[in-house]
Amino acid sequence: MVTIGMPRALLYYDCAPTWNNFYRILGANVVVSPATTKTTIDAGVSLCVDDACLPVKIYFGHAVALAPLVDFLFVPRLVSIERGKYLCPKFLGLPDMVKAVLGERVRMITPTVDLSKSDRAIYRAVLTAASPITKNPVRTIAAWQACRRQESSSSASSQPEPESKVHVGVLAHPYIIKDAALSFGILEKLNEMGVQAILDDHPKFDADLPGTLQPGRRIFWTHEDRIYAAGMTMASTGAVDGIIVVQAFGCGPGSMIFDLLIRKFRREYSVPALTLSIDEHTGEAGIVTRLEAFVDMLLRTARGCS
Amino acid sequence: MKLTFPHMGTLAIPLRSLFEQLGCDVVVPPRTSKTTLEIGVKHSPEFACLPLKITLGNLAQALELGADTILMAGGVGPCRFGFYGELHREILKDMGYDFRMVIVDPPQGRIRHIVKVIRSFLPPVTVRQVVRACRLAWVKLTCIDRLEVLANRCRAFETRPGAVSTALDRTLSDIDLAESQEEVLAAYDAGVKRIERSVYADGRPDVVRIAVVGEIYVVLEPFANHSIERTLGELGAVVDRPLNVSHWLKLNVVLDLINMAGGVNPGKLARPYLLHGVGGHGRETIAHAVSYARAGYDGIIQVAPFTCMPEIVAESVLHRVSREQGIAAMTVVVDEQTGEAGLVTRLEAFVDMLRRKKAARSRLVSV
Repeated sequence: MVTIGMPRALLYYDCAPTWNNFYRILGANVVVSPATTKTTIDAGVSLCVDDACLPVKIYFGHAVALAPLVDFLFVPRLVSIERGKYLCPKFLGLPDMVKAVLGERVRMITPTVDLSKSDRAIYRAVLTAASPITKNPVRTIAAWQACRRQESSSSASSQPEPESKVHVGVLAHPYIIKDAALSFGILEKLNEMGVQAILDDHPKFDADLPGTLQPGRRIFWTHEDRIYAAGMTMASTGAVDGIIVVQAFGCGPGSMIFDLLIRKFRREYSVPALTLSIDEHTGEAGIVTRLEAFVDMLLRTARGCS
Repeated sequence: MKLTFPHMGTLAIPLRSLFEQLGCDVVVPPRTSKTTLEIGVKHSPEFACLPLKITLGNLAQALELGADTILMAGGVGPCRFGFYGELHREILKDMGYDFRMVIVDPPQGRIRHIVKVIRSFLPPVTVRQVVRACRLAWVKLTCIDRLEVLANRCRAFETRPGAVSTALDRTLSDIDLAESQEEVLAAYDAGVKRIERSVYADGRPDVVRIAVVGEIYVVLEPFANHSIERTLGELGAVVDRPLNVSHWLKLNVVLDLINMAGGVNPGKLARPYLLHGVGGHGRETIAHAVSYARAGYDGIIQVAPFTCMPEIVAESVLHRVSREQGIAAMTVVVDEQTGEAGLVTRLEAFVDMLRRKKAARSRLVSV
């Protein structure tokens, strides 16, 4: 049986369930790297170029940990996952970056997913992804559709939200906020402080971007477009008492979008906002202190108003 | 209406000529300086790349001088540059300026749309005027690009330090003032002679050949790269730079007007190192590195702004290119903190290393 390695980093948090399922249906053994630890971070930092952001460095840590355990490493080249929008350039070059570092140490599966012009382009990526297991296109496509069907039936369920006095919007890339080691467990800490965190992927932020950019122009990055739309909706509807932005140090698209958001928050809505930026030198104590101070301020404001 | 645009190397010369011929009032921002950078850094997001900060400074300084319309190029991703205009507008608004911003997106075959955008801010002009203005600007542009190539090749052989750069600067200001194609060509010819006069005819034995590649803005803007070409030349290196404005315009404006930009493909050379475009000039950096290695150059210097996404990908892959193609490569990352002395030391060490490597190799050959 072929063993396929999935690094638990970057777009793992967006699209791994689908791919894992796909490989399982095809009869492959999928190994996901364990959650990020200090060791993963150190390994990644030592392998990757210094200028990359921490999430990319961590990807290298996960990849190198998986390399000896698997037949193939699954490193997709995610160019675009929706029409007319792209992902950060680092996703576009990820397989080449990993290849340049790991070289011949591991074989890689690198399907190119580019849906910027047509949704049907996914099928070519799926065929490439399945090629080490089966060359049979009928079997591959059938497996893909089966796992898409399972996905659409399971995604309907949503858990009820607990009541809380203070709501905080958390704007961050999924690969940062959903990795507890990378984000210092901010979500959990907020929960412990009795604050309800609302993420930007919450279904109620599906609305179209409120008219903010020059007409006819949109943000051309998938994640950032969603974060921007969610941030603007949170601020304009008053659904949250404060907003926390968590970004990786040196994040390219984030540097533009988060700045634009905070500018708008300050100019048009009086929403308090806190920016936390994270790199391999960030200490947990510093993050916690700032988080506590911010939440205290929100709690005090909430008490003062009621 | 007073039009302005940010600097990028010597681009302001042809742009000013173009829009003045079309009947616009043009305010060229003051030469990029430390003040420009300070304004830019103060008001830009911290992690934005250096070009955004410097161009913001340019625009703010031009608005101070009375400009009221900003012309900016746009983009469709995934490089951050495509978003500069949007962010510039918001930041300048917060700084309290009142202006109009025109963002010209890459045409992608939509000629009519581009014409509409450009006509929205131009005074009424005839087709003949447009053709003449474009021709004059184009001649200026190509002459400047050729002069810079020549100067980069000649600096290593100059008779006294700085002679070539002085000759180049003088010629550039002559071209800037020229008002007809004949005057431009005359200034160009005089400039070529001037540069040739300031170098030793028989060369020197220990030159090394270095290519400067990387992100186009920091490669072209001497203020951003601390005059890297000049420094390298004066250290005794023949410098070649594959990126220049006329080439970029050909690719992104002229060919893109007829939606043919995809036809010119750096992808072949970049194989097997980088199999997909990564926005900006990431793939070009790798393709150029390979082609210079094959052409027998001694070294490659990649210049990139800090946090530049395409160049980070290229940097990761460049190590492998260097290893497998046998060419020395160095990455210079610049931002507002870059000190000139530190950079010069690194360049000196790099040139020295190349020179020794070359000498050692030629000794081996002669034995």
